Amino acid sequence: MVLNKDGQKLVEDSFTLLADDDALNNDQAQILPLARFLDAVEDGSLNARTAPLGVLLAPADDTRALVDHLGKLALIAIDFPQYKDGRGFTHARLLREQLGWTGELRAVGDVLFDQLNYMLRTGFSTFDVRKAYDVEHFADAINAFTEAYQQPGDGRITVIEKRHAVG
Amino acid sequence: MANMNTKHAALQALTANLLLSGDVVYWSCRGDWSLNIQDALLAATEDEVAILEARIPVEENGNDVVAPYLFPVERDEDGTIQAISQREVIRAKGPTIRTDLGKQSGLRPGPVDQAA
Amino acid sequence: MYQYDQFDNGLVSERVDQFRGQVERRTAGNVLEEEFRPHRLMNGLYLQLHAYMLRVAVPYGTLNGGQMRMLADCARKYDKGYGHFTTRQNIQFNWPRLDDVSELLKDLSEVEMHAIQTSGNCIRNITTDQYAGATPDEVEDPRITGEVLRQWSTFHPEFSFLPRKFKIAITATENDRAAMRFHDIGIEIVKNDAGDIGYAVWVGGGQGRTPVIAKKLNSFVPRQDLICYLEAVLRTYNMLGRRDNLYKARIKITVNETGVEEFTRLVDEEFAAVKQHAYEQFRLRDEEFSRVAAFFSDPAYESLAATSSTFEDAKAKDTRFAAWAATNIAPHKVPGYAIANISLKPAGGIPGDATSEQMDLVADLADRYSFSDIRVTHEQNLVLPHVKFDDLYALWQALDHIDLGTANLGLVTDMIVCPGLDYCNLANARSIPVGQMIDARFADLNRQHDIGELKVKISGCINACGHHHVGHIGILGVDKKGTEYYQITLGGSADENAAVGKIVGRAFGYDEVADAVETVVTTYVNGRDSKEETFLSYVGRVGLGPFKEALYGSE
Repeated sequence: MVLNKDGQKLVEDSFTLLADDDALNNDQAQILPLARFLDAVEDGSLNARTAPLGVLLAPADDTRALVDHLGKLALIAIDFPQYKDGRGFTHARLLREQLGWTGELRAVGDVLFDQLNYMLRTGFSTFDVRKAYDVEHFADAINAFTEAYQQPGDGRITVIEKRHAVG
Repeated sequence: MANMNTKHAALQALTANLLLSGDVVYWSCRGDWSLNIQDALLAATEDEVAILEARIPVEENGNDVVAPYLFPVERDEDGTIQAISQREVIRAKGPTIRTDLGKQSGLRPGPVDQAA
Repeated sequence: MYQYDQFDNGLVSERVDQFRGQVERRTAGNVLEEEFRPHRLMNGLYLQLHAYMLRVAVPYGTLNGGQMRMLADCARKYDKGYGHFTTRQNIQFNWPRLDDVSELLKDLSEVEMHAIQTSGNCIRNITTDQYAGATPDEVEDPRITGEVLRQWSTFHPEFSFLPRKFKIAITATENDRAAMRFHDIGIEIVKNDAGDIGYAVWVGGGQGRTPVIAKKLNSFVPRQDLICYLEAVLRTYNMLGRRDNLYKARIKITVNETGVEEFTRLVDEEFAAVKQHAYEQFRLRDEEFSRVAAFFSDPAYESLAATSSTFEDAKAKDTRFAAWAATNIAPHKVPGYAIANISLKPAGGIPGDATSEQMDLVADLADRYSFSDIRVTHEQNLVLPHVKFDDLYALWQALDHIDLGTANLGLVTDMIVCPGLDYCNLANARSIPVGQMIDARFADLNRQHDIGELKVKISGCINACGHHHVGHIGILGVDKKGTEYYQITLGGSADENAAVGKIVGRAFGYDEVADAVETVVTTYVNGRDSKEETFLSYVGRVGLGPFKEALYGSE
């Protein structure tokens, strides 16, 4: 179930993740793995697209490969195949901080309950949460910490800034 | 090593640590966890080992213990169960440099009272 | 020392609540061990052989009296009356119950302490020179940068699931007392030709199964750029570090496999990008550095004469005190003061262990004699950094009374020893009793003083928590078919002349180690030019040959 930051279920969410042998359909909201997306851009098969398009970044993908294509996208999903693999946090931050992505940034895969706060803080805006417990207690996890020492992607005012705020 | 022949080698026992206290426990003949290695259920045949091994995923999906695994033991002539590796000997007794701590400290460990 | 403000307090107490929730979910069966494990590890809670073990952070090794008293209380209340000081300047409790840990952490939070990031694949407790703020030769107090980086690394959302754990050490003197070159990142505080203070950054040092001396990646990062630079290093490592093999996941392997030049180029590129896009958020602000620095300003030293007749008289009349003064005190930057080292290696003891009573007394002595300032050293000792020469004898007498007055700092019995197979789930062999056998062999303190500086370091497995690679004499426990054996290395050094020890030959049995060490020491003592030739210089001059000959003969 995909939730937004406030724990609200995305009612409009119609995206499907394209598996390797699924056909591209330009009239359906689909999420393409990065390599397939780049190929499709290259061979023109997205030219007649009418439906929203998303791309999926795997941990080993190069975030900066998207730099010229952000305008084509309605959604960027970042995969956490294992909670231990923290490369998704770097993808998110680079997208927000360096590539200037302002659209939906979705965490998918092994989205660990206690990582939700870190995901929020690196700039994720939606979260594919699977367990009933996690959905029910989503707010506890996403707001586990009121303050933060760093500001890596969600634009919050850091502890350091608050300490030295003028006036 | 010389008296190896007088012992029955290759027996397996199941051990873990209790979730709440962390205490070392052994799967017992009674079908529960015991603090005392002497209560351990020993598997000798392949079938017995398989049955004991089947306990592991059950426990991993439960709430009583952490990190269950099988380890080899042997029985002395008088029937006493002995861990073979130094690691399991130490787990069964306590730190060798603090004999006032752990199971060796004098308490007679037995069945587990989970509420304790 | 640093004092928490409302923000620091808020974060630590929210962490206690978060952990309490995690434990409740686990015990109620809402999560299984597999999912709970990373959470308890991120809170420093391991499962060891006999019980859980909680590792509590002592940021940059600094404690005040109140904190030490709380550690003593926690040891009494939740453990078995003692704690173990570690090579990461932390303290470990060996027997806490899972359902007590939340309360323990709550008690700690009341004295501004925590167990955050003392385990897990994240940035661990940042360590530094135990003489910081007191030693005459430092560029500035490295604890200021330590605290700034503690905050930067705490709950860093991008760098909490790195390929592997990540350790940072900071030094501000040429004498490296923090083993800086054996850390994932070593930060050396330096002054450039223009007189500005900045940071030389070393990367990719470490011990474990592949000991590597760090390489200097940048010889001067300006102060305001430090965090941006570290962000660039950590990000490069996060994306490039291997996640397919646990033993190749540390940054030292990343640097070696990528090549230092290429790694440097990637870091520089990322550094430029960070500065371009996120400089405002990650610039180390002068006002924040100054705010933190104010907490580390000098205590109210008295104006004293450089010499003390009380001290000299005591040395003259009490030879045991004189011996202690010869090894256990170091020069202080202020006349009339000394840095006093408290050895946690009493004869027959367990290196690094301290009882609640000992911790309480050290707290009282720190309050009375050292502005309530206590340090933990990576060599598993304690330090009272600001003691008047006039007070040293009274201090030593009080310490001696509870077995903390041993005059062996830097000598053969001042060993680093990991917990080994007596406690540790990863160990292959016991370490502590091996240390005790060596300790008993060299019990004669006069002989120890005659041998001179000699660092023996013992690890119970290849993870090298006992720093054996950098021991002048290193001892590594290995398991051969269920039996403990010990490999000896010679010539390692953790200081500014960083070196990895070389294996001298075949391993020794448990009962042979003390004999072997004795043989090594005798070979040195008989072979040295004079007492001025240290063990390390001797090994450097003659190599392993004479030791091999003495240990193995014509084998």
